[in-house]
Amino acid sequence: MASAITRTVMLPVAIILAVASIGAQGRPAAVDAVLQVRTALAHGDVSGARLVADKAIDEAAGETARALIDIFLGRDAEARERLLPLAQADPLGEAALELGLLEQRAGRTEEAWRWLDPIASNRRLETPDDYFRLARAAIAIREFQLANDAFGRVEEIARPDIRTADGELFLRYHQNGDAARRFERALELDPEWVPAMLGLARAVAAEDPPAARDLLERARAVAPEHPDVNLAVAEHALEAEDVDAAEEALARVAKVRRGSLEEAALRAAIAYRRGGMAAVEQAVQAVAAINPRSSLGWRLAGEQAARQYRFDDAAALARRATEVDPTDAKAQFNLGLYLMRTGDEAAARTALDISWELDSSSPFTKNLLDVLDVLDTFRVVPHGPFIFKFAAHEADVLQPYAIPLATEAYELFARRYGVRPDQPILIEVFPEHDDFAVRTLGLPGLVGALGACFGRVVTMDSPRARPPGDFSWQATLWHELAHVFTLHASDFRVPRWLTEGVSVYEEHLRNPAWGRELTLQYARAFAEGRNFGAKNLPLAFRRPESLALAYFEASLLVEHLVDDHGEEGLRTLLQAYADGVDDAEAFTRAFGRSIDDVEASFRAFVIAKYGPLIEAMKEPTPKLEAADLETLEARAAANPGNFSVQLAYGQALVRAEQPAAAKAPLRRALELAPMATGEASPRALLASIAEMEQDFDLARREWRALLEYDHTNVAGARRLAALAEQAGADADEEFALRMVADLDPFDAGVHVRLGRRLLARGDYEAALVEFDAALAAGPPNRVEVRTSRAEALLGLGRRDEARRDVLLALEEAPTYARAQDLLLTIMGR
Amino acid sequence: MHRLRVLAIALLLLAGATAMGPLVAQPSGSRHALLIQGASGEPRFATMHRGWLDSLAALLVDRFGYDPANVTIVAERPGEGEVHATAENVRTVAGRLAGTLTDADQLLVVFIGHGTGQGDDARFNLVGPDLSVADWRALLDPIRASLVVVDTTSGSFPYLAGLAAPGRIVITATNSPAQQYHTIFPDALVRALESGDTDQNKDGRISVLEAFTAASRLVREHYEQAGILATETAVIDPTGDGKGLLATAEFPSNSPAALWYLDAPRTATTDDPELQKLLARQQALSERIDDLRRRRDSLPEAEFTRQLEALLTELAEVSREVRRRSGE
Ligand SMILES: [Zn+2]
Repeated sequence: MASAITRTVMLPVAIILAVASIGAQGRPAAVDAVLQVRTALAHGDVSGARLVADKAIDEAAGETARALIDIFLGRDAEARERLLPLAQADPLGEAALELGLLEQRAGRTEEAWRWLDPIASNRRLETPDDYFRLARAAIAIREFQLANDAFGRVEEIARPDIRTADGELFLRYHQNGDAARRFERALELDPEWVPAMLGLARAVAAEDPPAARDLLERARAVAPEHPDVNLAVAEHALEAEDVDAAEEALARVAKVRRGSLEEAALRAAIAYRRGGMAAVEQAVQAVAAINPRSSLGWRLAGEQAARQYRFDDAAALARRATEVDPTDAKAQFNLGLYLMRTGDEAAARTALDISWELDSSSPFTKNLLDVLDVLDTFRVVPHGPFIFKFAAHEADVLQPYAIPLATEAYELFARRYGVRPDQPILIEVFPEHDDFAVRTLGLPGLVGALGACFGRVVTMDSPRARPPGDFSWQATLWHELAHVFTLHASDFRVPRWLTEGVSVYEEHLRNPAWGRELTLQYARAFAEGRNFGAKNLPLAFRRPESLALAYFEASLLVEHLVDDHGEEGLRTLLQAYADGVDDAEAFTRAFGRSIDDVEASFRAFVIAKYGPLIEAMKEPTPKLEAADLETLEARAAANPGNFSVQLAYGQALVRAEQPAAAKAPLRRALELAPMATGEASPRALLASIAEMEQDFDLARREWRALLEYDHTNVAGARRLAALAEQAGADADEEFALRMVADLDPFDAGVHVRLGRRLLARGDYEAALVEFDAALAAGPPNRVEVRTSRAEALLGLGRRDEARRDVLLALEEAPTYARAQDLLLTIMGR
Repeated sequence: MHRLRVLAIALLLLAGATAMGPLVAQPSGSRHALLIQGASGEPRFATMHRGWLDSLAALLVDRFGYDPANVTIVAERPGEGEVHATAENVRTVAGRLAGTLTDADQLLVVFIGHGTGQGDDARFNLVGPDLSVADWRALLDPIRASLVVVDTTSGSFPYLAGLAAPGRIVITATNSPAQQYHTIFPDALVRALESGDTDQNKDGRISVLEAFTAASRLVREHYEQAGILATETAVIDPTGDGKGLLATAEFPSNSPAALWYLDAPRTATTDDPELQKLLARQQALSERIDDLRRRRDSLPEAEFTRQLEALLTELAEVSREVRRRSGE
């Protein structure tokens, strides 16, 4: 895979600029007036800028300064008029550069080059401004290395304008850390340099969203009417789905700077949100009027469509952007990204390859291309409405488990939500979590996520992407497939809280333990008033710190709504969103109730469901601290209804090696919160004590009861399997083996044992699945599994296949008596 | 007839399933074991190591039928009839074995405990002064029995090359000098010897290769199931060239490690002439199957399958008859 090997991120290398600055006629230093006006504008101070310009002694400098103000205010025609004579008089000067940049912003490329190219080619460089002009011209004509070299030559110059422009070049190269350092330097030199604040906000946005928000606020405080500040505010508002705020910010932009390209482009994004594709078509005309070669309107509209999870539209819009400006690397990248999310990986690769050609500094592009290379090695397994992609070495193990589960989900959800996706659903299962993360977001990491759904595409961790027992991949698959249906049923307009709520609720319906892992945390949050309620859930989904509880509460809300209004109510709700109505209207249509009304009944529902648990989970007063046994005992006696107190006392007794005494408080804690899980939970400790006391029947019952809730506890399941085997408790053993096989399907041995159990009770069909999985995972004894498989096949009346398998066994083990007998039985001898 | 029945029952016990392989005449020496538990350092290791030592000894005697008198136990805290794990005592024991064992005998040597150091300085920790690799080599070389050495300790890797000799099989728990963590290989070895899965070809006997393969697998599973990176990978040198092979390597069916059995050799004698005839037939069929498999590449697939099926079916019938006549 040559493309993968050569695909290393390119860094700008400072080797190009061989300076020939010897010679007399260097350019005059930046005339003070220009610099002062630039500074005033960077502070958002237009009247201050005017004052400076008018006071300028040098006529040309004053005129250039006034042109800068015109540009700031969007009065390009006036600016052009001022700049043209100055530029003609001094083709390498400030006015010529500004004129070139202005022409470029208007899409008059040839005019622009006429001014920019000579400046970028000039090697008579003396003053910092000579280098700065060279750098800016070079960036405009895409000579980024040259620009970088020029900035390097004036590295020590303490000027915020230069440092900020240098930072912006590094942003372009996706080197956000380097960019941030340059913006920070600019802010050291001038703490109110607004462009540096905005640049820094961009540079840290991905890593530290609160810091980015703070910077934007700071910029707003310094220069509330600065158009660039308000453009950034509008962008943020759009990202936060606050369209009204975005429009308000754009109105402020327009008040100061009329007819800016960025404003028109952001309005195209808003147009998508308000009126879909047709509205964008209309809105981008405003962009084209300003600069017919700009792809920004299409691109931002595409980004908005992607935010709304409408990736077909997003891809179509990104494609329009690439048609308007084929050199827009970002648009090509977006196109590739969206196509991946629609499942069209072949077309995605084409777009990403082009993007990489244009900008081989983007780690995102590289990552996506790399993960496409990885996907090329996967095994593609079409099945019914699905196209599965498994890692080649995992496919045979996962297939027999994943396909029936996905099929079951599809049929169930199609019925419940009354919709069948019209295109195949792509399900990709990654053995490497970082590949999953890159496939999902373009970046490695994404530590907390197990799966993702883009409508027709589901991506997820394979069971071996994390240590066994970390998660249930089946619950993840089920959850993501539920998203497929709520997205389709709502024409991709379902709000986040609802689609997540339904997915978690569906998990719970499939397996009572799934999606209920946070019950205790939720009860405690509720007791402390930290829950969100129906009205605040949408907000909770925007904050990473509250996400986990928000998922849980959303699922409870869905459960409550279904209790009261049935599946029909849920379907109507999704349909209402499909029709494009807002939350209030959707609730009225679906339930004939206001959200306030739902809020009240939801609270009552939670209290009815978890009232005693909420009481038991209250934080004890005074706070529980590490204490000696006597203190804990006294507290336990005084707080018989408090889970933490009872558990703490029980755990302390276990630590003090008084297991017999620990049983009473542990049992009390268990009664208060039977769904507590984990190895320090009451049930787990009681199970261990029972084992210690050699009461294996009790231990088995405790493990079994624990595992009914603790659905990812693979170690506990292995323990139960061992105890059950010893005791000949077939039902418990089968339960435990099933659980291990589900959680850790690459444990070949467990498939063998489970298969044997199923075989023993004549469930040949299920036994066959296990023996297949065992053979795929590499069983401890292949010969034995082959023979067992033959037995299952014989049980199913598939005599020829049985004979084939038993012969395969005998070929490896000619003297294996069990296989010999089976062969003779199959042959009727 | 009587002898054969006893044998069949013994097999039944050890394989967990009725198994009856072809009876091959083998050199009828005696089987010996030298199990050495070194210094444990900490109480938790002392308990663990002693547990493995006891399990191993019990398996050799109860399951594989070793004569208890032939199982020498060298322990950190010796019990009745055991030897204290000092260098001096080890020398004495090795000297005795060198003096008594012959070419026809087989000896299994297992180290349990800690290994430290690297290269020539690699040591198996005894009580008091340790012995170096060269010391061990000097002790083992004079023993004439067919020798299998299993070093289950951390830092065992230098012993692979250090003890290599023609006709000797060496297994080490680690395959790099960097692997210095406490090993779970000895536990895996015990479990492998207990498991019915270890007998890969279901011939009712466990070879050293089968035991090694199964133990390696259990080690890998242990780390996989815990979701942690393995800090040990066992290797075997079946030929005495000092080079270690992983359990996943391809081993020829006549590899010395595949033919070195922990079980007692089979005897193919019976008083019943009918049965004697059947046994001979069984033996001949097994050989023809082996021969056919060797010629696999030179035969059309369909022809191979046809012949193999015929032979396997006949062997199955004969074997059933053998079992019937021997009273199963
Ligand atoms: Zn979800």
